[in-house]
Amino acid sequence: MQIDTQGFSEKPFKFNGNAWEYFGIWVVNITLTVLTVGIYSAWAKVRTQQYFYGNTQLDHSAFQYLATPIQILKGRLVAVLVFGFYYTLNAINPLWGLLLTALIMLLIPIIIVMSMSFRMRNTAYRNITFRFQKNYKQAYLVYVAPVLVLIAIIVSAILMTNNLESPSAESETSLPFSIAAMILISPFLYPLWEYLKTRFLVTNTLFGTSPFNFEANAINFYKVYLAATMLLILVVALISALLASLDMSSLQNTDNFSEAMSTLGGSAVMLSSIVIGVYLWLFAYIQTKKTNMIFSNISLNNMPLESQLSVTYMFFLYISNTVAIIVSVGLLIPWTMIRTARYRANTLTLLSDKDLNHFVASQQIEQNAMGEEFGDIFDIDIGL
Amino acid sequence: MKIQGWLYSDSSSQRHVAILEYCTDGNIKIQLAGEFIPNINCTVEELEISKRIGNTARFISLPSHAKFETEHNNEVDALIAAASVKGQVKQHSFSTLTHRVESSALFVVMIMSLLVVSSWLFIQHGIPYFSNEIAAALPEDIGAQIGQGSLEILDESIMQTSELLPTRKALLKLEFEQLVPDDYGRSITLIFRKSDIVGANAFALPSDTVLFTDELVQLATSDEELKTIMLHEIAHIVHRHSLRRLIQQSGLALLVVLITGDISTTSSMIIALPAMLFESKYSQEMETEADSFALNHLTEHRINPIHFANIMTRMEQSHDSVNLENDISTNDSNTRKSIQHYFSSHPATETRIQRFRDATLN
Repeated sequence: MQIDTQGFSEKPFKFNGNAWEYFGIWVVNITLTVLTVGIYSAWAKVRTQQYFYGNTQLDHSAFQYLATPIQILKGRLVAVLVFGFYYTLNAINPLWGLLLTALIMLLIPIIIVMSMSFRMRNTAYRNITFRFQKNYKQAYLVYVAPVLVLIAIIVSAILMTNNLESPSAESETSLPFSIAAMILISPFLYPLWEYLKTRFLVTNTLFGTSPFNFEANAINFYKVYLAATMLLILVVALISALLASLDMSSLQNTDNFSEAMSTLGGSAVMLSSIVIGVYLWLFAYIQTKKTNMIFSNISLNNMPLESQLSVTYMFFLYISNTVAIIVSVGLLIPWTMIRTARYRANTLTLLSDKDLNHFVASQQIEQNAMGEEFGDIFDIDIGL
Repeated sequence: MKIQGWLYSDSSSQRHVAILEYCTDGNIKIQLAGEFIPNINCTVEELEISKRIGNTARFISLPSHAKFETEHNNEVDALIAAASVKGQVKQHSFSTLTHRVESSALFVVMIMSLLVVSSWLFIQHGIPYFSNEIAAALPEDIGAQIGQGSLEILDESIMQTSELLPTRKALLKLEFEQLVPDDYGRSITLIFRKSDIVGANAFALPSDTVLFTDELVQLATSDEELKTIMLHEIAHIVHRHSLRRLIQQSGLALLVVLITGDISTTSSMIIALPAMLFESKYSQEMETEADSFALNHLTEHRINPIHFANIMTRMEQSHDSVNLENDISTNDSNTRKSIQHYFSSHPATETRIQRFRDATLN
């Protein structure tokens, strides 16, 4: 179901943030957070969010972050208390800690839904807030069911292998092989799972009363990983061919043994840096292509988004940001945040054949920050 | 005073070009340009104006839930200032102050130095002080609970059963018990283990236990030498050093979380290195404290401090590559000690030995 975008005009996103301006906010945030033993962190979070939302414009109107520091503080307090409880429990008896971890794992879908709902409810554009439908049943289906299937496969595989060792299973030797095959297949199901998760998050989001549509299918996700795998194979083949020819020629030219060894050592250093580079580039490739694919398949009232991140530039961004943060002992963190946000906004556009005046607001419902802060403290990645 | 911006109603994303006008009597009039929509009238008290953050757009909520959006920050600030002078609105002095500090280069630099200095003071004095106080306030047997299993782990990994004669062990235990200060109120147990890996060494375990290796006992030329080391290890237990170390580590982790605002960063490499530096600093302070305790009690038991210097010198000669938590030896060799000093859990051995030599002369 592709939208015919002929005659559509581009409504670009724009980010107006400024590194030096944000640096001031950042420094004050950290200092007051330390001096108030963490209480100010709620205010700091709100100021940071408001800065980034407020500087993001679509068609000359800015986004607004609506959550209040007190909401964030309450959520944080509860999350910190639970974390402290977990920490103590874990110190006293690791088994109880494990049980609590399992319990929290079971609650992850709820936390994700609450977190998304809070985030969307507190994002406004043109005086209309976003929403996230609290579809808990679907959340459990999407996040927990595949994990259960995987666990079932592994457990049955272990049981089958045990059975094989006992003489009674002689007649069914083919069964464990099929189980092993299923375990091998599991990674190939990952893109499908990613697709289901993304679809769940996108299609449950609304702007006012208008739901977002997600036009991608699982094949789009598979294509990204397939292309990445092909590229990896190609690069590895190229490098090994190159290295083989290099080593041969250099070894032939040197009579001295130690000289030959040092050439080999040099190429080992070169090889490892190439491997790290390839790894990072592959990471950038998958992230970028996936982001582009996901966003370009999101539409609102038949107006599609379009994301045009470049892999090369994202790769450059990752590396230069990391180097800048290390060299500056963290002082350039605000700068890296601003330039990343600017690049992402600059590559995102909304295609539209009409103005953005026709969206209708929905009823307001209060929402607490519990889920959001839970997700933050326990490092639960929602991934959008 | 007039401010230009966008106006949105409460029900749709319809955007109108609008001008918000503030009259000195406190009335607000919003005119919508080029549309047949009546003006909105209200008073300045009824407005809810978003706080200033950098140069991001300001949002002004109207009583009808309509919203006015404008990029003219300075005009909005002037409006608030003018209305607050007249007592029509209360100015949020805190948020105004925050913005002023955030946007001034001088203040930002000052705040940053404040942050650095206060973190430094907290690390230098705050954490050691609080860990001492907290450790003293905690129940007495908490060390035993935390230390549960640490001996088992040692036994399974690097320790073997002692091969010393039972009579020798009994005698040393007797001597050890006499060294435990009466005011400690609890008994401390001395145990022996053989260990090829560790060599001559002694450990203070959290559970009121001191461990001597057979190798250490064999290295000593007199019981006086062993007594000096017993006192050093007793000091670790009496001053609850293992508990304090735990609290200090938590304190450092807390500071890291506050600064980075992220719990998961505590494990990252960039943070781990400076944290390690501070931990070894605390550790060195505790070794010095244990040495002081030993020195004070040596005279009480009429033992010459030179014995400590002697056995330390011999221990250093016997091994220079073993370094473990709470042990008495150190891997600092004379040549490469300067850099290692910062990462070592013990002060430079030379300095420690010298301290006991000086005490002998006195």
